[in-house]
Amino acid sequence: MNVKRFWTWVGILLLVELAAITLCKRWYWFFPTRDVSEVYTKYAGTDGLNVVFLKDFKINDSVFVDVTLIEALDSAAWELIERDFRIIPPEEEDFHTLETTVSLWLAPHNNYSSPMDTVNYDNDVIVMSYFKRTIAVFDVDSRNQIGAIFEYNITKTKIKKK
Amino acid sequence: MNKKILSIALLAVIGTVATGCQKETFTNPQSSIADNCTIYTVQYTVDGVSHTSTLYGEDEYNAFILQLVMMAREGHEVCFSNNNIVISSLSKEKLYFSTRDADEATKWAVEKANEGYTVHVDYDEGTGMYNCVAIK
Repeated sequence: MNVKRFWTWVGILLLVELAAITLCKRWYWFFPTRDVSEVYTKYAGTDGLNVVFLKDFKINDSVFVDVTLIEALDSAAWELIERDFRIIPPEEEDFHTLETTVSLWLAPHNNYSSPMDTVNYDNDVIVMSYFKRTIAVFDVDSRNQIGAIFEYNITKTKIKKK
Repeated sequence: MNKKILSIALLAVIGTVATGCQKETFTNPQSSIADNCTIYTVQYTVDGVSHTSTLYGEDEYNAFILQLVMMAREGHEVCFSNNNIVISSLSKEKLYFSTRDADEATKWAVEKANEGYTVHVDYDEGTGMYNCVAIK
């Protein structure tokens, strides 16, 4: 009887210890960080917009960047995004379909309505699907990341069709 | 007597509201960069109040002039001078590039983006080509 109780307590203590270790090592699973981008803060809660912030989104094995995804649910919300980001829409005559056309450009960090700054290290990458009314802002730290983000999105145009 | 004063006051209120509403019917045209290349910056006065409007494209400009004419017909004092029109062109330089190689398409797109272009890319399954257009 005492032996059985002993092992029960050992089992309970092990479970408590395991829970404590998990909490220490993976605390952000339970208490997610509030560290979000400025563009997320600007548009989150705006009527007609779905806004998502992804921390350390994997572009490839060595490039991880913060991304803010914005999806306009109606034309009024999309007009706001078009104006704020100075969007140049793709023209139908240039492509056989706009459905899978992806648009990419560089814009000064957190100042997307201004013309592109020629100083590369302070530009973010904006990726847009005009057809789907979605826009993604990739927070860039280095030139190497710009190439990887372009490659990721351009390659995806092929994958999408499969 | 009281009824007469009340009627006159009521008419005055209705008249004021009606005039106010009439003035508010004039709205600044909304701009859309997408469809045209010419920007008109126009200065004008309506009933002594000066305004500045930016108009994108000839269609928007013509609609705006028509709106001013209508306002003048309604009795508003509209001053508009041709000398105040500033026309500037949005350069819409377009560059095309097609390749079967995704790396080449990426390289070209990055290069053009660094030069300030917006790059549009689509993969054409029929031809197996990445069609890229850079616009600025």
